[in-house]
Amino acid sequence: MSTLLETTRPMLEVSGLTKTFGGYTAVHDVAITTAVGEVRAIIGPNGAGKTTLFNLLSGYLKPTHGAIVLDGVNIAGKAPHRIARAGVSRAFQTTNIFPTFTVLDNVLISLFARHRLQFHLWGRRSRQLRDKAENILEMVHLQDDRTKLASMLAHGNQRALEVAIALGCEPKALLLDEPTAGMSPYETHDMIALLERIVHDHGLTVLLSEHDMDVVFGLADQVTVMEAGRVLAQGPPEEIKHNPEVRRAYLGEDE
Amino acid sequence: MGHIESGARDRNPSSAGGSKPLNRTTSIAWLLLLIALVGVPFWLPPFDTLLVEGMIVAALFALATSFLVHYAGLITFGQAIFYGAGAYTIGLCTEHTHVPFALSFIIGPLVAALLALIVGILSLRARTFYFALLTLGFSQLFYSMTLIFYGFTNGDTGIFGIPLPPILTSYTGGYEFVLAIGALAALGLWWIVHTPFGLAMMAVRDNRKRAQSLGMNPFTQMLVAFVISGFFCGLAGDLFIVYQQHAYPEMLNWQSSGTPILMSVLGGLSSFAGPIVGAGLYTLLDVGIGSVSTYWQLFVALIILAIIMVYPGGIVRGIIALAVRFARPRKSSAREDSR
Repeated sequence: MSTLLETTRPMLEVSGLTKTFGGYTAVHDVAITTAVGEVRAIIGPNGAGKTTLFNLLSGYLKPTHGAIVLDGVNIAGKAPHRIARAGVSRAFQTTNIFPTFTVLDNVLISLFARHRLQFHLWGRRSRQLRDKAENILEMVHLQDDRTKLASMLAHGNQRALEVAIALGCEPKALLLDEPTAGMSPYETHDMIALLERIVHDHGLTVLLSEHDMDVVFGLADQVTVMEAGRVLAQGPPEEIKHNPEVRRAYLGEDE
Repeated sequence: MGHIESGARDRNPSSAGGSKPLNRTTSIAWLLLLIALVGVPFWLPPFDTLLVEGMIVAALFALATSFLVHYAGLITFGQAIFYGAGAYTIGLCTEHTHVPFALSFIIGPLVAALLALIVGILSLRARTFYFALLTLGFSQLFYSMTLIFYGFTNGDTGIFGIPLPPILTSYTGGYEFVLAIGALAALGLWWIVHTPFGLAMMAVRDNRKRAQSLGMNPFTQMLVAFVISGFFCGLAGDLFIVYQQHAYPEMLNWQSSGTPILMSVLGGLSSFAGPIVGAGLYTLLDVGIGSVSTYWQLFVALIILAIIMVYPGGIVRGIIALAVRFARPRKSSAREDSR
């Protein structure tokens, strides 16, 4: 797959990205290029700067230096809603849904926002968007729960809904911040299956931060290893697995 | 039956998954209420007709306020600015210009909406408690302005005896006009809650960060909600002129902003009917006890406290709970009959 990707254009190009908090540098001179349709996993121990990187990419933090170019447009330092409109969609590490909405409305609001209908005083029953929302719910296997209140879903299903909301934005690049965080092994298995489906069936460009190595090596085309805010190594999963530096720093050196 | 409690939003066909049909009991209740209200001048004496007219004005003010408090999640103590603006627009137009009543009636809510835009831009930078305090501050500012610009506003006397067009001077004419505009406005607010805008507004209320990550600008979303509420508060102020022909400074102070919130809490914020029922009851207590005791405010306060302690979710929810309790035995016997 990587040979194919080398010929395609980049979707998300991060260069020289730095974020300092006072004297502390959380993200230091990070450069990552993600091609169209590529799934890139960002791994690293706690405090490596993964979540800070995601917050920079989605606009919740403003970078101190550096560029973030999405499909040819620099989005670095823009407000979160502007970055979302530019095509970056994010599923959060903690469940971040609309608890008082029904499951269907959770996806519908995402579609309304995507089609810039958030100020429209008509068209609440748009058949077209409703069908689209139902399709997305089918994709994440939540179609039978669509009239339930989102707060009533089990944790694993809320995470699936979180992904469905992110998909409703029809993103150019999807950011998944630890999609299996806090899940039971059974739920994790379901989430991996779900991510495999949406990623490989729809050719999405995905940036994924994850602790679970099974998820990383099962899904990713490319892996970026971070440590203490810096990029330690980048490459295809097989290469990363055998990179001695990575083994020492992160995967454990007991072999 | 448990779903009834989750608010008006869940009961209508165009929202919340779109699967639940409009509750038949609810729509029949609304229809009966409307028919009863239309008939008020024909079966009640003029004094009581005026009382109900006052209830309708209060109900619209309460609805417009609860639109912001409940659906947008913005606690505000400044809605009286816009209520007063609607009333004062008509008053000042008749006092200082030759603008006909019909035109000033239309301008009123627009002036209120414009003020809401300015106050909103300045207040919505802050959030929660600080936002509430800013709106309270603006309320006092506009209140003071009605007193300070004595030559223009007649100070604390206000502008009274505002002439109405002949058709509105009769009890029936004035009442039916207030009812018609009030009902249309209520329908309008209900409609807005159920549009994509309404859903987006509630999305920002529920989860601001997530809404922003979907491409919504929370500030703009809330500002538009604030302006819409301001418009309808202005319309309520307009209707107050039809009802009392008097615009006075106390309409704009923060106590006046608190009244529609109190009415809404009394009736129940979580259902669309809540503020309407709350406004009706509050007005009834106000007038009913006010005519027998000079300490009426004390009694009104005690009764409201008692009601809220018994039914923390408001009267409407309490009534629904009672109705469910009474309906249950009948329902089960009906099932047995059908077998």
